[in-house]
Amino acid sequence: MPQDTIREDVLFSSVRELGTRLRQRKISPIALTEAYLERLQKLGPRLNAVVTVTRELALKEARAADDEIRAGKIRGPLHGVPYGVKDLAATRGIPTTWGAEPYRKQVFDFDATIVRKLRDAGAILVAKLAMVELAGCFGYSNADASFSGPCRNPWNTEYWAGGSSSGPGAAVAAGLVPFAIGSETSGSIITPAAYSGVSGLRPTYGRVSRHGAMALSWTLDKLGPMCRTAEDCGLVLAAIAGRDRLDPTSVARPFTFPEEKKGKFRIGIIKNATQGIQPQVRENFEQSLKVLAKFADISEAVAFPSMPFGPVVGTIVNAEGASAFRDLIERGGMQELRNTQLRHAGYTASTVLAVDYLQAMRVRTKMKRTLDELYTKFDALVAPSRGTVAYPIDQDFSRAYAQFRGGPPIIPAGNIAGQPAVSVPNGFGPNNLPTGIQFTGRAWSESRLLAIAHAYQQATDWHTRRPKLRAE
Amino acid sequence: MNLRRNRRQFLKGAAAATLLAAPLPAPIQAGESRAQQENAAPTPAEALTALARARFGRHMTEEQLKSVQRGITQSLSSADTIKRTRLENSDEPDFVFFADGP
Repeated sequence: MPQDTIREDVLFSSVRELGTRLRQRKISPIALTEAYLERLQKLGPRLNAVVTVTRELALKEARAADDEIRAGKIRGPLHGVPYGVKDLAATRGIPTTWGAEPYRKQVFDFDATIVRKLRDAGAILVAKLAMVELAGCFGYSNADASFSGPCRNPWNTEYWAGGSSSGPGAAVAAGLVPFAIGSETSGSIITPAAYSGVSGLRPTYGRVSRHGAMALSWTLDKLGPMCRTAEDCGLVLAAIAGRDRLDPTSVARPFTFPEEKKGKFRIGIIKNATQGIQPQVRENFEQSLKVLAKFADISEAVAFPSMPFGPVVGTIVNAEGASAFRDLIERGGMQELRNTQLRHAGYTASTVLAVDYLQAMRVRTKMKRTLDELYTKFDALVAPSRGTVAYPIDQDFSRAYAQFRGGPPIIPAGNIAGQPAVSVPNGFGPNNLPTGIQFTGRAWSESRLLAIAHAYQQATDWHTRRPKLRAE
Repeated sequence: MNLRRNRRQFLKGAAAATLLAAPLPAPIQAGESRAQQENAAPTPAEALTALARARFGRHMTEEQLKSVQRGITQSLSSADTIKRTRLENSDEPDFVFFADGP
């Protein structure tokens, strides 16, 4: 097998392309892994994107993949492909810090199911990636919310990569890994995907086992892929989806990718989706709609239900999070966190009344029903992933872009209902920062959403753009 | 919090911590006795802030306690917003309990 020097171009290839080259033995898993390890070491610190480079494990897994591929034993499209995981998934013998100082030395003696599944698929773990401490739990005020420092956006390092899956977003965008695993409770995959200019999939709640992942909100937490393309998200999801007896919320529901063609896509544009958002985000969204109109039936101005999605998701996260982190809160450990707001927000969350939590969960049932009814008519509803480009590193979120707070609460709504969403890049806005479009759909409709996002990417090239980054 | 504390002690403690939105009792109005004043109910935000102080006060600075009170006010406002969604008695929360048998 040729042990070629891996060019930078190769490191920005999609998972699909890398898999093909690996199976054709044009590159070896060892050379590929070494190249990513080098890039992680060089550029990871500049972006604050990496917590631990898992060199020893990675090389061991790469050698195993190399042996198997040489022997013609191919495990699937991820075989020999390196990846990074948000540092909230347990990895045996390697620190799992949850991005937070109080857990900096935490080491588990088992692997999260998602890590095990990816290993079984032949993927190679090269890094534990940075995240907002405790996945942002009760709300954080600015990008400086991780013991590893604010994760910088590869497109403009004065800006944030998004959160709470900051490292996965930045690392994929910067070509430090070809794909990564992030998590979303409410917005933590879609936001960094949009801000960092990568493709991110928030799967349906229950699609992917969360065993071994940090719990923030048991009824909201999801794990999902962040990749260069929507197609790659499908390949990764196929490897990680499925029932796991260690996570009782996981479901044995078939996920087939790519889906069988089912006729023209039916896409709805959410009414007022561009009201009160940054002008360049709006322009890029409007351009995207023109592209979608070439291969889909478009319905305009689809009214989004007016329900208190934000308050419901906030109440649920506060109540469940205060319970999940009760030990830390009660022993005063929140004071060790980096973000000043997070240091005390857990005390506020601890006062949520049980009756208010239950009321939120009852309203949630109604919301789920209402949203499902709306989504029955469409394969996807679309909107800008975020109303603005990424926030500056040095400013509180409340101060930056204060004039752009518009758009319906699509992210909290989708998370409350457990629905999937895909965000893909659709252009650039101020300060050379990426923007994204999100495709949201009914529960278990990932194949359809990914097919639409893939069709969009076939017609555009935003996902192929690369940031200019140099190691200092 | 010691639940046996009576209401007067509770309010006194909360006020002493300068935590409450209106931490000190308003001046006694004409015709209002001190007892009446002390029996005035704290607002829910005041009461919950006092609870937060009692449970976590030792971990927080005064400044943080003020932020906690603002957060509590906000979260109570969220709860009020949620309450405005009409629910029937039969509307169950979005989780189901199963009694798993042997």
